[in-house]
Amino acid sequence: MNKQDEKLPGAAPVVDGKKGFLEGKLFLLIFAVLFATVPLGMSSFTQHILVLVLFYAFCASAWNILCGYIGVLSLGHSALMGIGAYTTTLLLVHFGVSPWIGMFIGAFLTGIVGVLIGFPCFRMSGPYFTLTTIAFAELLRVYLENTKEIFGMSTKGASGITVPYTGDNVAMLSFLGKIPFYYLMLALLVIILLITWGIDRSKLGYYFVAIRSDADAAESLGIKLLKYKLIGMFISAFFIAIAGAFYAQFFRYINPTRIFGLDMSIRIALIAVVGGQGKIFGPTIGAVILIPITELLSLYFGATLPGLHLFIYGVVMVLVVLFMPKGINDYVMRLFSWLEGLLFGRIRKAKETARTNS
Amino acid sequence: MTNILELRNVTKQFGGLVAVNDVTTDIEEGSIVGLIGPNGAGKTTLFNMIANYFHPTSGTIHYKGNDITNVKVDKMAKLGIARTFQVTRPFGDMSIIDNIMVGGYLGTNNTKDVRKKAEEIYEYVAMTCNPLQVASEVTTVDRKKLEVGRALATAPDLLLLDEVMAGCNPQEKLELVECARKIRESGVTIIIIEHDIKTIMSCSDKIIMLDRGSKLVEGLPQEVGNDPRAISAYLGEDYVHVEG
Repeated sequence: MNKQDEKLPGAAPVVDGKKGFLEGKLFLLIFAVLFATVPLGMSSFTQHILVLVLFYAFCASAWNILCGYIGVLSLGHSALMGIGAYTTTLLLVHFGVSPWIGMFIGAFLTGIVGVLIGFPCFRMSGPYFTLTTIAFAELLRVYLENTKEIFGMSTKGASGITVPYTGDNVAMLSFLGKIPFYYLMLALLVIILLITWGIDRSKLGYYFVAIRSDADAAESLGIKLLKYKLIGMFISAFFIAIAGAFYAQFFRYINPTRIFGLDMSIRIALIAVVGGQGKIFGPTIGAVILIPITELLSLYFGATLPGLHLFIYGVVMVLVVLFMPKGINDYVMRLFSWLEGLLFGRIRKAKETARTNS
Repeated sequence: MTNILELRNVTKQFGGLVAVNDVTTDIEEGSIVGLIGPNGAGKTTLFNMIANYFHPTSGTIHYKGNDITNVKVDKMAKLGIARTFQVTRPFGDMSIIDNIMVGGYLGTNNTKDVRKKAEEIYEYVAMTCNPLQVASEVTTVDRKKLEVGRALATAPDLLLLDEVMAGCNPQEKLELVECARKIRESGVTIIIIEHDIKTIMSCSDKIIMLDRGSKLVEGLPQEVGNDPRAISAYLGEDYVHVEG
């Protein structure tokens, strides 16, 4: 019995009596407050890392909606991010369109591109799907590196585009400091987490997980596999493109190698896998753990031991796959519910004794 | 009585192998039909063709008067044909209730209704495990019942049960027979593939026996039980003695 309890993912200990309002939400609240206040008063470098943590948490969450829930491994999401980044930037540079608007134009365009790629790709399964997504991303990267202009707009090929600084201007999504970017990214992360939460407990989420678990059985229950995969692809591509637009405004420089490269795709996928695929908070947990490690490692060992962060990535990946095949998320959630049980159990007990004594 | 399903000269070839050969039969609405035969007789192949997992090489299948010979698999549930799998295929990451809910979402978006319906079905098929248990961890009989429950959640008119009693003990088989009867009472037509002759004979209105891809005998259980062809091909001489 005990063993079975252990295996139940995220199972809250069954306790008698009513649950307090905070129970089950306490740690969510603590982290919300923590995330909302932590960058204030930090050094610019720390703030930069914190923005990156949120950025990658957002990217991995977008990836998670398609790949985590439906269970296909895409390593081409960098291409979708790149389309979003290039669309926003080209609209800004050539037509002076505010990135706020460009962001959504790029997102819709990327969603449609994602669906178009999905049509041929989703006919393949397993490694063949993954290879096709890689091929697609590499195709776009090589094309962009060797192209000077698209539809008459200069893209400067492999040397990339510098995004013009338009002053400390909210309307143009351009800020001098890191703090506004931090809160913008935090808001975006909250939005995607809410959307994931909504999907998780609706028909869409049930169908996604059913397809992941057993596509044949899902089909026999009337689930149109291609339709739901394409829906997942659209949502995922839409949000990863918004991340791309943010990337362009935050770094103010984009080039094909950095944003379309396989590196970016692998990093996003790895964060979600390590954190916990198909779980609402999995990708966020993955980013909170992995990003600071890599940034600090490349800061301290970047000159002496270049590539060390990639080595660490590999080690973490192997350890997680070996010992936590469902990702870190399950363990973190279980720890939280255990701590909460301890805390609220004690409060309840204290109340009981107070009542019996009086 | 009207026929819910009409098979006409259904044949399936895999390369040179004829798995199902020229099968013609009718299934009456509201009946339980047992599909029996030795291993490799083509029972599951015939099943898969009715469920459109693959399509016949020749012949036609009509359901409620409409030709469904080449309909896509994912449209079958909406038409009202649901199936279970010989090897149970629960959605392993989900709880029992969530598994049933996936079936219940057909044609609706209302999670609250779907959950309520799933809880009713969980009671209806009389599962013994905790409804919140992860589906990959329950016993064989509960997995079988889950398959049935999940299929029932799509509100079918025709239910295809592929060896749903295999691997269950006599007591559990009785429970499943009881369950099948209850489902039939609610107006659902059932076709069952089964190896336990005694069980299937006791609960079916009609028996179809396949042998080497062809239909050998068809009729009431006692007719098939006394048919010399059925006895020599599958049932064996002992069967008559046991029954007699």
